Amino acid sequence: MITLEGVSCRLPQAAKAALDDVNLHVAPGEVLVVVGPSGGGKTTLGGVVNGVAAKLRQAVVTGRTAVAGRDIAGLPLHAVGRHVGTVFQDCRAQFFMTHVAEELVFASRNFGQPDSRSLPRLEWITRLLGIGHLLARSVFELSSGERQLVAIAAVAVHGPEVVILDEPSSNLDIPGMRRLARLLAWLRDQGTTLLVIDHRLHHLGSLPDRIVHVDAGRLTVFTPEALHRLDADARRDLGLRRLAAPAPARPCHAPPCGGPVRLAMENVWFSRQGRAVLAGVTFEARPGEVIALAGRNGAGKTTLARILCGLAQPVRGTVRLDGAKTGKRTRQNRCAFVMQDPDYQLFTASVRQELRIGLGDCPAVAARLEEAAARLELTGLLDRHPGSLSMGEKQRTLIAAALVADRDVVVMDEPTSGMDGTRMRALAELVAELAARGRLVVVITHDFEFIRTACTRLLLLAEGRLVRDCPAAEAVEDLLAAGASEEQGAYSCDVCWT
Amino acid sequence: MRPGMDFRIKLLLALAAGVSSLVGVGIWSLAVPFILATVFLLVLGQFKTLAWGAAGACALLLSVRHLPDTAPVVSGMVAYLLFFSLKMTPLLMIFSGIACTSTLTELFCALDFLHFPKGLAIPVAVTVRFMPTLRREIGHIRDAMSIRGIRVGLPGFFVNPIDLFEYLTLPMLVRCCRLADELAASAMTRGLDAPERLSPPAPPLGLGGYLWLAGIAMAVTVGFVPVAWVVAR
Repeated sequence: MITLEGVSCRLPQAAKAALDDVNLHVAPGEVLVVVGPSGGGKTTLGGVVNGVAAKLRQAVVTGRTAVAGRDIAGLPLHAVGRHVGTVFQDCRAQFFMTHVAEELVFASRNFGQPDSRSLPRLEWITRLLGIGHLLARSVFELSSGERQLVAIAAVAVHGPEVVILDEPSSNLDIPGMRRLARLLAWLRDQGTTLLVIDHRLHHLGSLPDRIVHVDAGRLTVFTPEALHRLDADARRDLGLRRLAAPAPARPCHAPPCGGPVRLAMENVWFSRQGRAVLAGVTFEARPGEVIALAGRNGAGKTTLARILCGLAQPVRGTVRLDGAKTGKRTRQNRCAFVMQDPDYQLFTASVRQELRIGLGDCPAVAARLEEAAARLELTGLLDRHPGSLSMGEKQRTLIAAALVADRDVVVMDEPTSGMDGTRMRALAELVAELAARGRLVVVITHDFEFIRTACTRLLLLAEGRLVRDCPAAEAVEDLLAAGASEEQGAYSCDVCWT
Repeated sequence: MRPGMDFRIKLLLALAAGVSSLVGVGIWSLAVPFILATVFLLVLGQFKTLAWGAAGACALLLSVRHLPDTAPVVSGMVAYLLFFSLKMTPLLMIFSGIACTSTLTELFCALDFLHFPKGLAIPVAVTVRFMPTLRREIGHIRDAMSIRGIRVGLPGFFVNPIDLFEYLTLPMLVRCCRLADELAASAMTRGLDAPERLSPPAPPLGLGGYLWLAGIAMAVTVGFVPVAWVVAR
C-alpha cells in the first residue's frame, strides 16, 4: 500500500536531511506505529507519504514514494488526499469548517461523495468515538480532547485507504484513548492501512503489526515482540515511553511534610452559557506539592486552572493564597501559567528580555535570572530569539520566567503532550526541582506515566466536581481500570457496521 | 442550530446596505442602511451586536456634529474620517450578524449558486474562516500577557504603546504562520481544491425570502429618491 524506496527528505533551511535513504513497504491493512525522539523525523515521514512535505512545505524529496500503486510525485495534494487521510499534530489548527457536522463531511463532499454514501459511515464513526452529541456544536466550543476526536473522525469519514495519525492520543483521556483504539481496530478490519505516530503506545494494545523507530532520519523496524524484549535501559536509550500501562513507581521527590496552606479554593463555582462548568470545588494545597489535575475531557480542568491563575473569576466561592482572599490581579501576580503552546507566551526578541519582562533591572532580578538560566540550562541561549528555540527550550524558558518572577504557584497545561520518554523524564526532574524550592506546582494532564513519575497528589474532576483527592501513586491503577470498565459499559455496541 | 435566513438574502442585504450607504448623500441618507441593519439584527436575535453598533453610531454622530472648528483643515479631515466610519458602521453590523449566524456550508452553497469562480470562492471562505480563529488567538495572547505581568487594555497602551504593540504582534505572527500552514495542509489533503466538490443544493427562497427581497427593494428605492433629487438639481 505504501512504498518508500531510497527516500531522502531535506526541509528548507535545515542543515541535515530529516529522512536519509529510507526504504519501507507497508502492506494493505497493516498497522505501523512510528516512534522515536522528538525531532527525529517521524512527522516528516508522514509528510512524505501524504505529499505535504514536498508540495506544501517546499522540502526536497528524492527517491520513490508510491501509495496504492501510484507514484505520488506528480499528483496534486487533493489526489493524494483521496487515498491518504491525515490527522495532523495540532488539532486546534486543522478544522476548516466552523461546526462539527460540517467538518465531518468536509472531505467527503470535496471528493464528490454524496451525503447518502458518507452519512452512514459518519454515524458509525461518531458512535465508535462517542462524539455524536457534539455534531451541532461549534468547533470553537470543544475541549482539547473533543477536538482531537473530531479531527480523527473528520479524516476517516470519506474512507481513505491509508490513514496517518500524528500524535492522536496527546489530548485524550483514558476512555478517549480506548475509543480511539476501537476506531483504529475497526479501520484495520476494513482493510485500511494505518500509520500511527505516537509516543504513548499502551493504548494501542495488540494493534501494531510493526513498530518503526525513527531517529536522525534513519529507520529501525521492530516487531512488537522484539520491542517488548528490550530491557528498560535499551528502551530509555531509544527515548521510548512505557509499552504497557504505567507500573507503580515512586515519585521522584519526597512528598511534603505539611506546613502552612498556600492555596485554598473554597466552594468555587463557575458557569458558562448557563451551564455549570465548576460546581463547588474545594481543596487546599501546600508549598512543595505537585498536584495532577486530571479528569475526562471537558470536566473543567482548564477552567479551574484559569481561575487559579487569575484569568477568570469564580461566580461564587473564594480563592485564598496564604490565607488571604484574592482577586484576579493578585493571583496573576503570584501564579505562573505554562500554556500547552508556549508560542503564545513568548513576546520579545531574546530569552534574556523574556525572563525580565515586567520586572525591571534591579540587581535581585539579575541575580535570579542568572541562577534560573544556569539551573535550566539556558545560559547559552540567553541572547537567542525565543522563536528559534525548540519546544523543550521554550518550555524551560517559561519555567525560568516563573522562577525569576518569584511566583509561588506554577500551573502547567498538558506539558508532556507530544513529548518522548527522555523529555518527559527531564520535565519530571524539573518539576521536582520547582517543588523542592517551595513552589506549589499544579499540572493539568492525562499522562499517567508523568503523574506516576512526577506528581505527589491527584485531584480528579468529573463534570465540574472534585470527585477524588488522593496520593497520586494510589490512584493510577484505579483510574485506568475505571476508564476501561466505563468504556465497556458505555460503548458496548449492539449493532454492526455492514 | 442557528436562526434561519437564506444566505443569499444576507448577501443581498449587505450589498444593498453597502451601496445605499456609500452612494447616499448627506446624513439622512444613512437612515436606509441603518434601518436595514437594525431589522436584520433584530430578526436574527443579535441584540448585543445591535446595541454595540447603535452606541458606536451615536458616538460617531455626536463627534461629527460637535467637532471644534479652530483648525478648519484638520477638522475637515477628521470630520471626513468620522463620517466615513459612520457610513461603514451599518455594514460592519450586518457582516458581524452574518458571521455570527452563518455556516461555511451556507457560504459555499451561496457562492456556488451565484457561480462564483472557485479561485475566488476559496480565498473568501478562508478569510471568513480565519476571523473567529484570529479573535480567539488574540484572546489567548491577552491571557498570556496578563499572566506574565504585561498590562493589557487602555492603561497598558498609554503607559507603553510600543512595547504593547510588540508583545501583541510577535506571538500573533508566529501563531498565524503556524495556523495558516497547518490549516492549509489539513484543507488541501482533504480536497479543498478538488475539482469534484459537491455542495448541498441551495434551498428555495420561500415566502420569507421573497418578503425580504421586496423589503430590500423598497428600502433601496426610498433611499435613492433623495440621491436622484440631488442629481436632478
